[in-house]
Amino acid sequence: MSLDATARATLAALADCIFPATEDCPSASDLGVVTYVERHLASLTGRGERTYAHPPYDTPADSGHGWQLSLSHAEVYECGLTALDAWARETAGAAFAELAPERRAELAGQLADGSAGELGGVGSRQLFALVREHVLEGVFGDPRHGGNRDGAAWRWLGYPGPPALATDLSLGARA
Amino acid sequence: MSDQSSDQVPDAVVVGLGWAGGIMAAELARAGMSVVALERGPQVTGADLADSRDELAVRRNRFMQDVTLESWTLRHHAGERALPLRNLGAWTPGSGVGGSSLLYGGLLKRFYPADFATGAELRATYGDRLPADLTWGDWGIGYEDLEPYYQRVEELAGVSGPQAGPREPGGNPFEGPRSGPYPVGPRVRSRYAVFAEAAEHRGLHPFPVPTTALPADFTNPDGVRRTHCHECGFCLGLPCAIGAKGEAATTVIPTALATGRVEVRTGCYVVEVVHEGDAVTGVRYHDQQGRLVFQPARRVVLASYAFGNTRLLLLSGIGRPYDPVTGTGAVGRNYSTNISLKLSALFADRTFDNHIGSVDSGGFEVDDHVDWATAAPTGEHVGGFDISAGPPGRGGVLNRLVTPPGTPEWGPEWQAAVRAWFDHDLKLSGHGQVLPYRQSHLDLDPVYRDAYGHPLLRITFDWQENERRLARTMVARMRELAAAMGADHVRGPSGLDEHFDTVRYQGTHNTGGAIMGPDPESSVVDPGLRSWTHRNLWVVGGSAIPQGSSAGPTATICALSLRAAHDVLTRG
Repeated sequence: MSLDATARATLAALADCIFPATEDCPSASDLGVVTYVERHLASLTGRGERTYAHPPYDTPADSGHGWQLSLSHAEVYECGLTALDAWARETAGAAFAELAPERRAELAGQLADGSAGELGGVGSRQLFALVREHVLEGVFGDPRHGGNRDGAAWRWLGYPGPPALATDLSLGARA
Repeated sequence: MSDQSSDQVPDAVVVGLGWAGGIMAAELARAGMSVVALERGPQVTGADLADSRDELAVRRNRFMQDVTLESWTLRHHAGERALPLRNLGAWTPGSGVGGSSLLYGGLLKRFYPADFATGAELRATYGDRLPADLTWGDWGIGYEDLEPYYQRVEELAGVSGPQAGPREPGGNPFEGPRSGPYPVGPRVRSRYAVFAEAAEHRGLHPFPVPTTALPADFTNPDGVRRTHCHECGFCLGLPCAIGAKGEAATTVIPTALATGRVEVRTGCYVVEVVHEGDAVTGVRYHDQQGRLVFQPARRVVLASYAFGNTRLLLLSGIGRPYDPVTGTGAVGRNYSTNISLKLSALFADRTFDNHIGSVDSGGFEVDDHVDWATAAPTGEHVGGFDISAGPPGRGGVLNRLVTPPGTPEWGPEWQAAVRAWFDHDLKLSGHGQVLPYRQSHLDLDPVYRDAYGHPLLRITFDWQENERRLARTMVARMRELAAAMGADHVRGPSGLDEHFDTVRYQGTHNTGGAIMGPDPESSVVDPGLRSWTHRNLWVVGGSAIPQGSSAGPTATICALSLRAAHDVLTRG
């Protein structure tokens, strides 16, 4: 699925709060995280098609039951990023992506600790946790998925990347 | 919905083709029986794994049970409404030819002799220290009965481990008697010696962790050859791309297929064991097109996951369902699992090359606390635990972004810490025993259904006070070891979560539900894993284990399967 231009800008700005540019590493958005997220949201997992979806959906009485929302990741982003932007306009007087970096970081803090309330049907804390997970995947995952451009985040970290599979191997029992 | 029968009735139908089913298929076919093996997942080939060294692909559960077909529900106590696991999390059973062995870390640890104690022996020793609602199950066999099968499992899977005996330097003084050494010598890595030295300094007895990841090429007694581990680190959550990890798919299943008497059918989701009187006549399954097919058989071997076996018995009306209120009935009782907690010890002046090597290979373990007396010197809990240190075997970096406690979770400060501490972490693993309790049980969920409308399995389970104490003690011992190593920081939990959490991975070590035992009233299968009520049905796998050990159940599942195959061939 592709996000609209505003949602994309909001996501890029939030991703860069989580993983900003440093002297020797591009920011999350420059590493391709938005592309990574869009590809994920279009995948079976992102569309919720790998999730057990039978009703009823109930609110857990205690901790430990995990995701119990009927929304897919794609729906969470679609509604959540729009709501986030509206909340930023209300709270800080401008679209999230238009705010100064320090102000964005303050707002991101309110998302992360849940004090921003519910955004698009999801608690802001849950929304932030999901975005953070995907940003980390986009920054540090294999470049074939659209993020971690040219393996730049791996180089920055000092990780050589996974070894290639030798193709001339006799694979023994795994034929 | 069609109900078609095959023309030929095989000697046995095996449901599920992981370690248990693979061993049963191989042993029965080798003795001349015809076998139809039904597996819900696909065949996994080398070509499927060409791009598998990709942690995001691993995260997408490519080789794991599809919860849209069948999930489970969980409630923490009988008064709570059970909710489904909407996604995989706490456990990840495999799906495909090879089952959960496709995904495991490659560790095959025996249980300890004391794990096979009877309830009477336990009460005589521990008396009032035992929790009041403990439902310890008698095995009907002892460690010595299983030992020859453990030995053979280690030879089939090529376990590499210490060559020293229990009482020799470098051996494990807490393991049970062995009829032979591990078939392969241990891998040694100097970078984990810091753990062994600290353990020795604290008076403990470290030994090299036994693992099936091969340090050298190996041919097992059945003539199946495997190549040595290439150290890529992509072990957990996916099949080994080169077959160096000892999986059912790279050990016993090739043996089964080589007989020419095993027909493997993939994409077959079994939903019923058909029975008449005291005999079973076959199974019904949904094929890849969703059609309901009846497969007749002279014998049925249920060899799916612990949860799958239990659910099939309940769906089929075989055996008496367990009632936790009256304590009567057997199917669904004695659910248990493992406690699995990890700490990261961070060292400013050390790196570990954690991306190199399979799970815990070249690492060290201490089993001093599998002994209940050592584990709880002042009697604060019952149950044992082990502690080990070694490579994580989780390829990529996402699981290794470890920062000191107190670091923010995002932003510039976090980012700088991630980089500064990358690969400076040593993973310490603690595995603890979970006792079976009257209330910890499995039954059918009254609300939630699978993709075909059959009830899901419902798990009633939460951490009990005894296990909370055990976990706190275990973590305290782990932190002492980290301090003895000179760690600058330690990151990790101090004990168990408030409630059992279905999201955080806890280990796929679920056991019970169709336990073995000497008493038909309180067990589902006899000590040969044959159903007490249906004498041509065997229920093989983690479901048979009356209660967990601190050790994972895989080696015991394999040994019990070999023993069950012997039972089929000699008794029925």
